[in-house]
Amino acid sequence: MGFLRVLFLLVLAVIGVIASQHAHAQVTAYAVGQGAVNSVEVGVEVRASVLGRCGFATGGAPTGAVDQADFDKSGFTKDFAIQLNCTGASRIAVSSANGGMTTAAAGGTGYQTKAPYNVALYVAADNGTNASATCAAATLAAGGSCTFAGTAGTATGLRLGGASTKANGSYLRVSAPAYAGTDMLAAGRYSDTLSITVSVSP
Amino acid sequence: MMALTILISNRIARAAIVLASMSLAVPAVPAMADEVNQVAIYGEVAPRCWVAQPMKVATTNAAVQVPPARAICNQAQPVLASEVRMIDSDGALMKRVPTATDRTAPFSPRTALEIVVTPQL
Repeated sequence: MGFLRVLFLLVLAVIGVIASQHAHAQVTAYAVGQGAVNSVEVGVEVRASVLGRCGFATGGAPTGAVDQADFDKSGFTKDFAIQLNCTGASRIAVSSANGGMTTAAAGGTGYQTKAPYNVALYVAADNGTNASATCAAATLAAGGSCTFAGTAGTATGLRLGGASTKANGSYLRVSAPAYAGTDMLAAGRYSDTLSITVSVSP
Repeated sequence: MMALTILISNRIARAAIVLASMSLAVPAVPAMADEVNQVAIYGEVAPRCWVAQPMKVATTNAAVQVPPARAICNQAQPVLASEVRMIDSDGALMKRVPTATDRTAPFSPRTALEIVVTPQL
């Protein structure tokens, strides 16, 4: 019992010394002429880390629309500029709401109500490296097989290995040649929506 | 003794808070995207009809057999209209010949039957 009490007091004393270390300077410096020690050199270790961040730069998100009349005859192509703000590797992914441009018009035998088109991604890093891929919109629908289909995550999306914080010429391109399917496209208004997401990548 | 204990407790608590803050400050990698942007794709296919297999036949008095021309419309209900037209010296279709009910003269040898297919709007 007495030993335990001594041990307890000893532990308290050690904690007290450790806790009071910041409160009392080890060396005292005096004004010139007032003492032998006039300066104290203190080593201060400074460490900092930059939090990994990744997103679209302000005004750099691909937004907007393309609207093409008689696209079945003329085809279309449109680039949407992208500027990332990622301090490290990133992934960018695209998903299509309809897997193609669809219309509410009635179809029927010999008529097609979904028009195919392509989506291309080109992303460039600050160090000059880049990544690119092209997929049919049909492969960008839920569960699609495109390499950048879905919502960006640590393992989903087109991977860009380097940081990208500047306007490096990245873009998303939607395009389609003149329609050449077997079944003709039914007359009507066609539409689709692409969702583009970006995420950091380990 | 009580004051010393409180002092030590406060210091340990501060140290604990600082350490906890530092652990929270460790860079955390977001697992999923937190920014979603959308692009809209629109297109229009105008109602129209076209001839898939154009047929141009110059007949003689002898009977001829030709495959029929095929018209396609991108709407389900095409509308057919036909009329007889005069043909000028260049072979182009000219003025419309009145229908049989209000026609007094027989057909000229230089006439053609024009068939027009249009989408039902």
